[in-house]
Amino acid sequence: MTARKSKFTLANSLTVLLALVFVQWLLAWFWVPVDEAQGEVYRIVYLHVPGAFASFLSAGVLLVGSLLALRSKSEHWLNLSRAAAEVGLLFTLLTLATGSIWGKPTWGVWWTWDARLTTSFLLALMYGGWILLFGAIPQGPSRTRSCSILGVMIAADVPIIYKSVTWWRTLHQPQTILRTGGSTMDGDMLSVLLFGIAIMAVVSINLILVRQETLSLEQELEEKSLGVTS
Amino acid sequence: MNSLPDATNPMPYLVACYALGFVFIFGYAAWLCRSRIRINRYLAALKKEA
Repeated sequence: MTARKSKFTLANSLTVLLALVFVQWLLAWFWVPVDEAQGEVYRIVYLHVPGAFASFLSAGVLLVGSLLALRSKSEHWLNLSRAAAEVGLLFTLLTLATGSIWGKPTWGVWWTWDARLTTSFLLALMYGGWILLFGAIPQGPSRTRSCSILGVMIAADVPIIYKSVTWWRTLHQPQTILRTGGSTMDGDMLSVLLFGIAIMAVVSINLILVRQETLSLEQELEEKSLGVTS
Repeated sequence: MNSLPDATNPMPYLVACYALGFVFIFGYAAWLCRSRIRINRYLAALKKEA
């Protein structure tokens, strides 16, 4: 009974959210006006920016999981951290890849060691490092402590990435949504972008929670299997 | 904002980005669903055995 209910909730909520992502992509391709300077290629922004926000949000969840794990020393919160690290890595890699593809026609280069790109690359490395660290240390308080400390450091990179375009002279364009004097974007463009950010944020949280539950179920399965064989 | 040279065709870049987005997001979600269903099946089988 419990397994069937979980499957029902998982299929429905994730399906609805992914359908909304698809709707936002259709709006981005066919409804919003074309950009005056960049032409059609600017439509990558409707995937690139929501992906970036989702990676930042994942770092926030990782921070919460890390702090709770340090406080309670519980594996339950480490499962949340692990799920957040995986989803965060997914969205950071997507952001870097789409940014690189967008950079080629607009900047003329696939990559540059600009402040925002470098700190985002560092974020991806740290997410990957968290996952490797988790796998390298045996289960116990040492793993909980080490991974949680790294989780806090990962979260500390996010405000640096966000403010990098303000603190340093960068090739990456400055803030266009949250800025003094209001956004520089057209109303239709901004509304679809904000819709995309909201949907991708909810998708990332959903993926994290589903992955966390799956990790808990895996642990339960391992414990029951060991119990049956012994 | 930088301008594109007039001759640049945006479609390959757009298609590549959204294809990557589809593979990453939808692919990960599909993998999550599959592993979740598989684990639930194993757990149900273990409960029956017990």
